[in-house]
Amino acid sequence: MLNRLRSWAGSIARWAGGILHAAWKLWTSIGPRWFRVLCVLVLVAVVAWHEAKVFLTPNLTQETIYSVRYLNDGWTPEERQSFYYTPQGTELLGIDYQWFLNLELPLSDEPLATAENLRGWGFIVAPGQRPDQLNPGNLPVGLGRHVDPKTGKERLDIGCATCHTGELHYKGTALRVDGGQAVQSMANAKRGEFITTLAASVFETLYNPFKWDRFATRVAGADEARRDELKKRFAGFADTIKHFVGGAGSPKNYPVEEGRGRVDAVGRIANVVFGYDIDEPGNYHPADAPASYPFIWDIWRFNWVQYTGFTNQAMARNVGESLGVLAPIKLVDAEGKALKGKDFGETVIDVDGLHCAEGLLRMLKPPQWPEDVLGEIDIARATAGKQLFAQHCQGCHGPHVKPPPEWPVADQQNPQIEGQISSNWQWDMAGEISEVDGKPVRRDWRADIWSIPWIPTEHIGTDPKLADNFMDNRYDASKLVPGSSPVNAGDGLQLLLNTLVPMLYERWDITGDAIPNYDGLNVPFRIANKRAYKSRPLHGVWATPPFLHNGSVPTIYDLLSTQEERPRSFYVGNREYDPQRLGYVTGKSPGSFFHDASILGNHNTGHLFTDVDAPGRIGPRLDEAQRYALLEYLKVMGNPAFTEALGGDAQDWAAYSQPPADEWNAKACNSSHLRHGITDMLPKGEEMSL
Amino acid sequence: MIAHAKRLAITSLVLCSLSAGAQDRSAQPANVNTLDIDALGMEISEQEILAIRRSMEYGREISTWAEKINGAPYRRDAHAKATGCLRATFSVNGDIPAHYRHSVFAEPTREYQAWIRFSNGDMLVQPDGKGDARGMAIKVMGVEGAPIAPELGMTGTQDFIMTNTPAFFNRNIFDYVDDMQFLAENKRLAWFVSLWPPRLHPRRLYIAAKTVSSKIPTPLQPQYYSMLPYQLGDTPVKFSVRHCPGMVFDSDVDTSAHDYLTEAMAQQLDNRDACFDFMLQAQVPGSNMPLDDATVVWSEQASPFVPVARIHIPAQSFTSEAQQAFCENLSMNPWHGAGEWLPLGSLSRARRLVYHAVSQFRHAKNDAPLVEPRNWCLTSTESCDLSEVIHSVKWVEPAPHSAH
Repeated sequence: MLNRLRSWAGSIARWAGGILHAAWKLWTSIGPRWFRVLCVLVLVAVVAWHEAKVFLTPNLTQETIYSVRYLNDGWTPEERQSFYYTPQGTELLGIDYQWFLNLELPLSDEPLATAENLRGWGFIVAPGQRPDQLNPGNLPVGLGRHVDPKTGKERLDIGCATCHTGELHYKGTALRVDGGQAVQSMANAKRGEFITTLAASVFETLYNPFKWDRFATRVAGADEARRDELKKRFAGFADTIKHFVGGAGSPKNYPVEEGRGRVDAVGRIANVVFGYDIDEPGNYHPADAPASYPFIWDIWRFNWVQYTGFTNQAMARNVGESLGVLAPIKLVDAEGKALKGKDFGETVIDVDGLHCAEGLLRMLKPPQWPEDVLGEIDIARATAGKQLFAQHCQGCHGPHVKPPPEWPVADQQNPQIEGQISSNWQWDMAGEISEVDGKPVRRDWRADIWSIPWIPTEHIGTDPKLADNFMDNRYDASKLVPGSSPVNAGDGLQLLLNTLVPMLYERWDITGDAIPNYDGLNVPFRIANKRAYKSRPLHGVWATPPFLHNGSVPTIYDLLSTQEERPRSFYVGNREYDPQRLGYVTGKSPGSFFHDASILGNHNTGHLFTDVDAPGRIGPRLDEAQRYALLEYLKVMGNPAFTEALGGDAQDWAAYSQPPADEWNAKACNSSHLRHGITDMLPKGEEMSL
Repeated sequence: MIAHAKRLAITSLVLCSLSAGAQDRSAQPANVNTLDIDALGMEISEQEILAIRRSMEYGREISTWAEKINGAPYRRDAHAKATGCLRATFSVNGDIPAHYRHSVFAEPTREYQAWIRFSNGDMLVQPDGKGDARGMAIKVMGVEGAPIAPELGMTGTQDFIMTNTPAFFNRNIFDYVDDMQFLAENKRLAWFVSLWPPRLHPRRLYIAAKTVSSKIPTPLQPQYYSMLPYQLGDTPVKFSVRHCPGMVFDSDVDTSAHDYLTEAMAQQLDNRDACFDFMLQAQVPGSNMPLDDATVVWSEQASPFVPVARIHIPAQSFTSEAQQAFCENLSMNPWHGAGEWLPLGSLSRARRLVYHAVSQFRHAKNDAPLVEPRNWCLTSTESCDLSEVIHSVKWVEPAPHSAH
């Protein structure tokens, strides 16, 4: 028996050996050794190329839209275009506008910046959109250009509108929400997303001679000298990417995926300004509290802005934001020592552009529910919702219309404002000064303001990470202010901006009357440090999914539901709208981001209407009918077209005050445009004269 | 395992229906022959009536056999052990698709009071830790409209009966009666596997084994399925119930305890609400979604379950003796229903006949009409004090936030 087994095994081995031998003979018969090695190498290369291509496949949503509808009143088409493409001086690490237009996808000769690709990464491109002077590259909303004053090169500029324009899709119609929440994934350094694909493309362009040849021919033509110069500058750009990814842009600083439509804005600003710009790597902190881009059609009325309500002044907020979005600035020299005097703070921040956008936003109205697209309003239900809103929501969400504040200012005698880490009395006094009880104040130019309450995080119970990071993260700002002890982001920005903004004004020749205008309605720059979130008014909130500051609740229906009912995970990225529950669809789809609410920073707790004791309980459980009544009301809340049908509406936005006249806004727009060679936006009679 | 399969065969269907009259089982059950089947308005063949009649006879044989093991007192024959009867609300979703707006689902955002009975499938009362089928039945109250089974009277209720498996291991009443034939002779495997005459039903055996072997952390956790199809308006559907997406199950009860399922639920409901999504799955053309083969799971890829209503279970106490007694007497019947709602398939039709027989029988025997609950009260009163039972915390509106 054993012998027979052995002989079987022997025959099988001989048979297998014979096959191997034959295979080897066949292999050697292909050709000489060098040829066979070549075959193997080619095979390996093909497989590797294929794998790399799969690895680098762009992560794109698949959305089909045929037409676009604009939901907000208040802007002419020119003003809208101006908001979309007026530059603010921000850069994508210094990429040239033409480079961006001419890059190809990695391992492909398909252009990168096509409407389909950029829409797939969540940017907004209208169907059939055409280029014009403001947007010669026919790029998505917000991606403009500015001229670098030093080199004269045209750079890609990431404007306000990139993040503060929303779009809802419904059965092929794109509903444009100006001043709304974007869902693009610009900052997300995950595989297949915009920024990683762009970086891969840049490096391949640098090292793949065929790709380089196509790129260089398009950008520089056949001229060898120009091609060489391009190569040098392009390599420098690639080095900048490497440097940035090694520091402020390092993925390890962003452990909670921002995904689609979110960014840890304050965390990133702090890392860029206090880490990257002043070359202090010790100041990098994990920016792990992603927040939705807030909607901004009524923020000019707020007394304090930002999710934690940490500042009050438009210009300081906007300059801080520009720095966070990588507006180049020189604060330290090559050795990392703080620059002195005039050299400090050299930047391409476009102060005119910022003031232009700020002025335009004051005219923008909230979006209106399009009944013909999203469905008719049930007036009886909405009226019931109005009562519920007054009962359960208005206490926090107001708006609490108050008389304009008189902001006490510092002056030569009292150069320090109490409770502020730094004051700049010259800047304070550069506004329009009045006297109250013998003390100087800046009287707010608004007819009235919206006083937005700070709700402590322990009361509201929503994810505390953002407020905690703001309060607890410390940055060493001793390079800016020698001898200062570590500060939080708010105080740090105050230390920097109290110096920087007046210097910018000086360089831009903004003097006299212009200063309180550019500051924003005569408001002096202040910081408030609170472990709290602001409960903002909710006009048009239906058009701004997902909800809560961290985008952790997909629909308003879910926000009105109990903790048990709220989804603990969902997908965000596809902009198809659910007009019943008021949010984007939440199913898994290409390009969408998986929101896992079990991660700190993504928590969906708090703001609870429930019948049990729970942290963040703010009201009793609402039944299904009550929830739908509130949803129905929120669709039209404040919309003057429905006020009469609702039997009056305390939130009617037509009843709110108008912005004070500001001749500097139109001037700012025009001068920013002129500087970039844009002539077709010049004032046309009435339209642009505010 | 096969022993379980056998028990389940007994428990899940006919004797399950008998549960309402379980106490009276020692007496001679009503004969289906005495019913005027034509009067029920169902299209039902002679062959099917014969099958039902035979299955009832086998059922009696099995009952007699089971009773010898169980001994007194009499309990329900199926889903004998209730792990809890809970007060709940059943509210129709505001965004329910239009083609589902029939019967209790006719009016979006309409809210009903309901009772929910969680149970273990076995006919024996055994520790919760033992593998078993798990049942969930919902009784929606305050239902308007013409009852679907007039012989049951105007109950004003609609019941949804489910277990935690999506498929049954008998295709239809004929499978069922064949299976019963062997079970009645205490041959547990014979219908699934037999050498002579050659017979092999591996898929049905697999379903049976899986059905009776499930272990769960709490009755609030599993997904429950109707198994059998129903007609809602123009649409044949199956229904299912799944806990809401935000529910957290972190009970720390000792799972070796005899009644740990009740304990886990009591712990969870002490200071937290629970909730379920009630979902419908429509039969769609071009997919294998038979109406009279309960072994086929309808593909969720071809037709996903769509939430159409929500079951809210407020924090509550539910373990009082009075409530447990109420729970024992609660009768869950798929033929309690109103409007355009109809149980489909031969197994459902069998249930209707059996239920009716039992109901008639008990009326005669007990001289006490079976009373359907109308609200959350344990007795048939209009109102009752639930302040000790429902643990909701009253909300006091705070002073408006002062502006800054």
